[in-house]
Parts: sequence; structure tokens; C-alpha cells
Amino acid sequence: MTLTERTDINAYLDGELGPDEAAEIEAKLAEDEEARARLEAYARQKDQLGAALAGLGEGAPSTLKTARLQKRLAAALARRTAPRRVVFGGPWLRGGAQIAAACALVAFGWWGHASYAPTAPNVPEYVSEAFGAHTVFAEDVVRPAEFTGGAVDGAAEWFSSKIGVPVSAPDLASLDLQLVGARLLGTKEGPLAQFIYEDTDGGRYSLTLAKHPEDRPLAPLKVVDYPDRAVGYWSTPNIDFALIGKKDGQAIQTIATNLAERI
Amino acid sequence: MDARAKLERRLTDYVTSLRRYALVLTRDGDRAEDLVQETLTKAIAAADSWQPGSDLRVWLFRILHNTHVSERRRARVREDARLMLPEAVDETDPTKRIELQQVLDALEQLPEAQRQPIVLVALKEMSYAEAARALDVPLGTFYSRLGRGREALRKIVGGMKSTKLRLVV
Repeated sequence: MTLTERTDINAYLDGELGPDEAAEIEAKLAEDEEARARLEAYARQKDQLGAALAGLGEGAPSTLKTARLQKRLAAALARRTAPRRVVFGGPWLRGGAQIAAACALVAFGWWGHASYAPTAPNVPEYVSEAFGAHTVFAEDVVRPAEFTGGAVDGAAEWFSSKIGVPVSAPDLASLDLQLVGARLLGTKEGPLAQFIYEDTDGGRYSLTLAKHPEDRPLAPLKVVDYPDRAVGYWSTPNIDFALIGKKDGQAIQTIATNLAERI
Repeated sequence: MDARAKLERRLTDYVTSLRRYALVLTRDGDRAEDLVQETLTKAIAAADSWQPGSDLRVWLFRILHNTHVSERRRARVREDARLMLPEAVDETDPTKRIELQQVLDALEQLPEAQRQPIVLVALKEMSYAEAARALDVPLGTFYSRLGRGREALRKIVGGMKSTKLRLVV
């Protein structure tokens, strides 16, 4: 048996193979007694090691110092993801900060699960948090929104009364984007509207709207690239916007520019 | 449960896993605890460099691994130390207990580069890709080390059985 074949048995044992590859290995195992014996031995040793390692943990209680360090680390990491006022970039970012706060509150909902929004260097923290709200809601194809279909129109009225300025879902049909739902995000700084769109390939976009503070200057469109997704944010006299999608920055820039010109 | 409490609970689980891994690497309870504390201290100092999108557990294992590697350069691991299954392990069947200790002993005979992938996978928490990231090696290297390591382990344990090696447990 070659090293590659042994490696395949390992990958099979550890659940690293897709169904087709797994079926291939099973076919080989069926006619190779030695390989079956090897798989059995690997599996038994993996289980035994797992049990032995679990036992090691039981035998070594945590010390006070370790517990204290663990708490300090939790505090340091919590600061990395907690909502924070944007302190750089000028006062015009405040609208964005509001979006950030909304998303940060939403973000607490998935704190503790695996999917944190990545933070690209040198972007306001709210951008990564808006990104998080997008990945939780907008990309959930089963239950992305509290309002869908015809209910979105009625929802927009409610959103407007909550937000304090008229908001509605822009028609993006000319960009081949279909409105699929909407959701109101509650925050301590005010409510935000999230509209969710789908392109012809099923790709999801979310457009988040916040009331633009009257005393703040307008923010020009900025686009930030993330691995696999991108965020565009800008403001108008009434409303601050954040557009997020599973596309590169160029694609988001195109949609956001088109949208910003029409609103 | 609020976000902070969830984070603390997750960290408790991770620290338990880190401690198990540290015990395998150092074979000594005190040294293992030192290694875990050193890892946490470094993680606190580097918290601002942790990317919230990345896997916290892999990040911590990676810090522990790198800390262990650099400490090995300073002080040799006690090669004579034996990793003992603690008395606290509730295993009523003495044969099984011997088997568990046997596999731990066999593990100690492997080169560390082969031992690490086997242990990370046996902790049942990491995929190959995550474990390779924690060890800072390419996936292909991880694959072959795991493959060679498991085969060596199988032969060592097989040899122990065939020579009816008596083990003190």
C-alpha cells in the first residue's frame, strides 16, 4: 500500500472526503483486507487517543493564574468585536457609526458562533460589523427577512416612521437585482432598515439605510474589499447607506455608483 | 447568555484542549500549565492582531505551537518523562486502561512532527486544514506526517502486543 493510499484511508477515517471520494475508498476497502485492517487499527487508535487525551484534561485542573489570564484574554477579544464609536475619519462618519452600532447589536446574536465578520485593515469597525449582519441575515436563503413579497411595501412605511425619514427599497431591476425581503434592525442609536436583494445567480446583497444626521457633511462613496465580499458606503442629505455583497469591490462600486446617482 | 459569557465559556473549552495538547508536547503537568499560560499571555498581547473573522481556536493553537517550538530551543523537553494517564480517569475495565496507556506510550515514541498532527486530529476539534494552519505547515506536509505517524503508531502498538510487553499502570 502506497503512502497516498494510506493518506486516503486517514482522510476517509477523519471525514475529510466528499461522498464520491469516500465511495471510491469504500470500493477499495471492500477488496483489500490489509487496508481494512489498517483502517480498523487507525480508527481504534484514534478513539483510544481521544479517550486518553480527554483523561489528561481531567487530571489537570485549571490554576488560578490560568483562569485569570483566560479572563483577561476574553476581555481583550471582546473589545475586538464590541460596538465602538468610530473615532477616526471625521464627523461625517457618524451615520455610518449608527449603522455599525445596529449591526454590532445584531452581531451579539451570533457572538459565540464561528462566523465573525473579518476586519480588513484600516476600515471603520462598523463596516466589518455591517458585514456580519449581512452574512447572518441576507445570505440566509431560507429565512433572510421578516418582510417578504408584497409585505415589504407596507414595511417600508413602518421603517420610515421609525427612522424618521422616508425610506423605501430602491428598484434595482435595471441592475438585474430583485428585492427579496426587508428587516428592521433596532439599535440604541436608532432603527435601521436592511433591504435584501438577489441577483440572477442567486447572489445576495443587502442595502442598509440609516437617517443621516442633519449637522453632518455628506460622505463620498467608499468601497472596501473583503475576502469574498465587498462593502460600499456613502451618505445623502437624508440617509446613510451601506451596500454589501458577495462580489469584488469593482462590482459593488458599479452598483453603488449607479444607486447613488439615482437617489 | 450575553456575548461575553459565551466567549468566556468557549475560551474555557479551548484552554482545556490547549492544556491536553500541551501535556502531550511537554509530558509534564507543570510545564504544560506554563506553556498554556505563556500562550494566553501572548494572545492577550496580540489580541489586536486577531482577525475577528478567523478561527479563535486555530489562532490559539498556533500561538501555543510556536511558543513550544521556541521554548524547545531554549530548554530541552524532559525526554525521560512519561505521559501518564491520570488516576482520575474512570476506566473500570483494566484491560482498556492498559490499552489507553499503551497508545500514549506509543505516541511518545514518534517524532514530534508526526505526533502533533495525530494529537490535533484526535482532539476531534480540527479539520486537516485547520490543524495544518495551527502547525504552520502546508496541507500536503500535514497529510504525509499524519499518514506516516499513524502507520508508525500502528506498528509500535502492534509490536507492544506481540511481545506481550507488561505495562505498569
